[in-house]
Amino acid sequence: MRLLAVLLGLWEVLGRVCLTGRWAILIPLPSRIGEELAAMLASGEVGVALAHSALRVLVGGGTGAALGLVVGLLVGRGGFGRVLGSPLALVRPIPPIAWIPLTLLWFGVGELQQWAILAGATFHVVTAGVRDALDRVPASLVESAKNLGSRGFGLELVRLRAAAPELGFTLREGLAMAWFVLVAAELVSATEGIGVLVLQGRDLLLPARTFVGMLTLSVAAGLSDALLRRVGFGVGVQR
Amino acid sequence: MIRLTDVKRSFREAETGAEVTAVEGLNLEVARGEFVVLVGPSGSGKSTVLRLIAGHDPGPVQSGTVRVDGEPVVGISPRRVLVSQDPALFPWLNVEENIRFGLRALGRPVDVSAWVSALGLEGAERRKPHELSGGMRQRVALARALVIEPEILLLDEPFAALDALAREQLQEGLEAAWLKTRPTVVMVTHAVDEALKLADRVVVVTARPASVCDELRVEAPRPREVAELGLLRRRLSERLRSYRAGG
Repeated sequence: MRLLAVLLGLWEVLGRVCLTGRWAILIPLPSRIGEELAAMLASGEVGVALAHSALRVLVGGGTGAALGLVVGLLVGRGGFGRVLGSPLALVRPIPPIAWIPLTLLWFGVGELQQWAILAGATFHVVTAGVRDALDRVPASLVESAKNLGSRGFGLELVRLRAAAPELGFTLREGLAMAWFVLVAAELVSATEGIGVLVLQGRDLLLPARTFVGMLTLSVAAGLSDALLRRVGFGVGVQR
Repeated sequence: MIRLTDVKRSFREAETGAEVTAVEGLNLEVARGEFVVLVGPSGSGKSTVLRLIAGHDPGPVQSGTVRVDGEPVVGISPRRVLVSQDPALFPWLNVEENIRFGLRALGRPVDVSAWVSALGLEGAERRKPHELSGGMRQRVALARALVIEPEILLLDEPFAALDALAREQLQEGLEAAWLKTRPTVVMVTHAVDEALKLADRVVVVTARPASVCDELRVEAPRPREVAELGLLRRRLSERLRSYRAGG
């Protein structure tokens, strides 16, 4: 925190001294950003943008995570599910932005299209993580359970319980990914949202807005992650 | 009751792809209720023998037969429980729940208080595995295995990771528990004293590939003071040394 304050101070001072002409406008100083932030908070713009984006993350990211959990469990179990592994691996490296044209064609301009982008990104993170979590369950634990008489569904439950902390951690990673692609998702068609604030920085020649948008995004992502951690997701995972 | 006949078991080593023969030409018979201890140099395939009896790792390369009561061993069964150096307790369950696990899975009544006392775990029932010392964890692992009253108990150096005091306490706990229900026990250990303290019969196993090269009956009454077994101890140590040197 102290380092941050020092860096901001440096930015402010160097900015005042070195930035002239159009650069004085293009690179806003922390004080300017602070002003803009205060104004936007007062007017409720930040609140509205946050609400819209948070809802998108919840619906889109949530859907992707739920689907990812199911598919990840199917693939991670081995057997028939493993078949899904290869097609998923082919699709995974394609960045969310590349999906924008297709999603626009299929879903048109609107919330559904944005949910699709968010869901897609979250889905891949979660399937990979869930599969890893199941792979990492120590064989000795499963063997012990079997040795003591556990079979069938009971045995599957043992695997799940053993993987639970890692599964929770994966869901948090999914959430982080949803926030991460939010701006790209809102790029083309959103009218309200954090991404919109970020884009307005250029459109309105008010780069301070972009910084306010980034700050809001960072805080929102951090708080939602902290919330999940509080509730117990991924607690105890050493990474 | 347990009979291994001319057993050979090889593994393909993960890194080099080379075939490693862990066990070859191994013959072993264990009578019902007998406490047999396998001793031998490290890495001599003794663990593999236990795993074969337990039905873990059926594996691709195998010849010879492993039979229990005349029937070949196929797969894992609660009648043949293996306890290793790694207690493999379920981290989300406390001590009592861990011990009850097998009983629950098998649909049997879940009163475990007798076993909790037998292994000195009173007071710790609500604790989770990560709150326990190594010695305590092994007690729980043992209780968990004994409570389902398996016919065969297989112990793979269960006390190797413990300090001398914990080791002694657990040896005594194990013996007392064994005397109660008398399962057939096959245990692997490096510690000569441990073997002499607990075994009805000590079986010496050669270095990789493992096969039986010697046997020693221990007829002293229980509980034993190993110090009084001086002669036996010397004989056993000598034999182990000679086999280690390849003699």
